[in-house]
Amino acid sequence: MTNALVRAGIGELDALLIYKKLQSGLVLTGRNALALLPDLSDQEMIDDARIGWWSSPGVEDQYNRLLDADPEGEQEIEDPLSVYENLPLTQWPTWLLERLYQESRNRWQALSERSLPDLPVEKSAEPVMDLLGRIDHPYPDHPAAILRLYLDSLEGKA
Amino acid sequence: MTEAEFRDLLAYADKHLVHLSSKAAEIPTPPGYTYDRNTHRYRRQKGGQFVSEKTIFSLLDTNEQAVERSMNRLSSALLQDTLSESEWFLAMDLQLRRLYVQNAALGAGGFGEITPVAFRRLNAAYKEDRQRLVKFGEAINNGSLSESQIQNRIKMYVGSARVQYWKSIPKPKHRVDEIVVERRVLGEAEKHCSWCVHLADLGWQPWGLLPEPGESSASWDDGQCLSNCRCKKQSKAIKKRRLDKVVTKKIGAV
Repeated sequence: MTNALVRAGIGELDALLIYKKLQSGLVLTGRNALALLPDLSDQEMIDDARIGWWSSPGVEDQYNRLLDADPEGEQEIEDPLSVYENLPLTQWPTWLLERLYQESRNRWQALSERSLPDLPVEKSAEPVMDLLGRIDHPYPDHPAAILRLYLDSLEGKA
Repeated sequence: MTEAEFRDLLAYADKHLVHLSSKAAEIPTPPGYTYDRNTHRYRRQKGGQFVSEKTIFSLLDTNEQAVERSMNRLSSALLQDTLSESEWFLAMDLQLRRLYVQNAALGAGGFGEITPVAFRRLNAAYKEDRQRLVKFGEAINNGSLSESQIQNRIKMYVGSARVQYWKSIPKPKHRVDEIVVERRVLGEAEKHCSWCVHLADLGWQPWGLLPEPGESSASWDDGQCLSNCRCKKQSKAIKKRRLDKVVTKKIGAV
């Protein structure tokens, strides 16, 4: 089993890790395998990605340590939405609202652990609004508020 | 396989993992790097030279190509029935997840510079791709995709991961009387999609408004290259009083 993975280009260590995940012997499909995957912490994802970077045939040895770079200077963590603060959302083109909805949805989902549909959402708008609560949300970056703008924008262009 | 054989194999796997881990610790490491948060550039610790933008893009390309080759080989093995769908899925997932994080790290300035906000964004995008990966595996397994369709689909997954590179690049530093602008620059391609041409035509725009290369729009129905996009983005800080001279096209007027 692991030999097949190695022949397909997966490193020996990774092949063994995959094999260990499949040790129940009952995992036959991708869907079964998906259910096996734990939610990794940010640090676990970094540790794993680092292994992949060091072993990647696409990365020359001299750049193995590039992504372990020591930072110099102060880090500025900016609110990702600050850029939108002073802009009249109603005047935005649809694609920009789509992008804003996508970002808002991702943040909101991460906080609430509830799933929201991707755009276009005309058909699912009503249940989404129910799920999100009030449409006139006080926070302009809330998915419900952006969804409303998006739907208005579609209506205005129809 | 009998239960006893299965247990032997697991014991072998455990021993092998320990052996490989100890071996990894013995590997001599090449000289390190620093990341300058002011200029947002990598610098070699030995000698202090900056790593060129060309090198960063070359690393993005070669690492992606390696992942793409591996994903193609895995998919051929699934097609030829030498891998099970579950093995294929776990191996593909591993490759893709790593690429997402590596690209984000490359843009952010290293693994340690990926912010929690960036991780939430990355996770959301990656989990959507992971769901698509399940369906992709089923489609390969039931023979409904040709080899070229499989290769194209893999290219798209790899391209989706590249978006994380662009999204993780920090906003350039600027003074109080300055504002940061950005523009889309068309990449090398025989023919550009109308979406990218439109975005490039908008010229300089306030930072954060333009979609990243590879991001698509559901409302743009005139053709998009999607995650095959090889465009780039440039940004710079300008004096606020020059904004009207630099940003000459209003996005809202589109």
